[in-house]
Amino acid sequence: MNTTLPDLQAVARRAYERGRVRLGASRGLLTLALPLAAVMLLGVPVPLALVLGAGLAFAFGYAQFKGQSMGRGARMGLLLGLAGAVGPAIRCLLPRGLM
Amino acid sequence: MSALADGDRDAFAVVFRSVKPLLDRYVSRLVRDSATRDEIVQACIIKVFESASTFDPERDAAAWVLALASWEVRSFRRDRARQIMRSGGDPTRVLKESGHDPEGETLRREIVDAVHACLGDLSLTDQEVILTMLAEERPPTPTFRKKLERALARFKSKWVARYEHDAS
Repeated sequence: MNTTLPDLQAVARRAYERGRVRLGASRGLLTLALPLAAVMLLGVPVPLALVLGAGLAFAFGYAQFKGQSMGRGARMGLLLGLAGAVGPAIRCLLPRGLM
Repeated sequence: MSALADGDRDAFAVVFRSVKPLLDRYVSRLVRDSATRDEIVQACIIKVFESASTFDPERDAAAWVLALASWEVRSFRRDRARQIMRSGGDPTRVLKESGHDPEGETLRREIVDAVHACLGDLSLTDQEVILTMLAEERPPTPTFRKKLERALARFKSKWVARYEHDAS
């Protein structure tokens, strides 16, 4: 197998992008747990959860694929968004008398 | 490497320029044949850049790259050993093919170890029969030939269960 240096560099670059796509896809898929939890625990309508979940998975996955400040920002945004959603979610789940 | 793991595409060329010579040097110490070496280096480069996004910045980059390269060299040798074993598995042929290069020597040792491991799975009687045959202390009796035939059949089934099932 005689591969020239520029060829090898192009092969390596494609391998790197493949790795980034895989990373973005796996992290994007993880966010699908959120709409699933919203449907099962909070009774959010399925079509709404599907649309928002797909949008979140795509946006988060793309940000992870791009990386750098966009990736870090998306992770921080997801974390803060989760923190903001936990309070109302707990309120919905608790029996009315306790609140 | 940390920048590349974070998604900084501008760091790609710099990392490539440092990783390629490192892998060339490392693999050439382990593999003498130039065609095989190029093949392994290319496989290592693909592996390193594919996994670059999962690199932990706390770790030493060179050690991480060399660990991946060692794994690739090992996988390559294992695959080659399986290919040779599948295409006949004649130990004398393997010995001739391995010649005197260190890679061939390692391959030969791996095959001998595999044969020993498989032999260990057999009963003591079967082991004795096969070892007697290998030592050429074979008494030319029909009873021995029959015993040998059975022992080899059992060895073959153990071999298939251990390695060929794993290779498929």
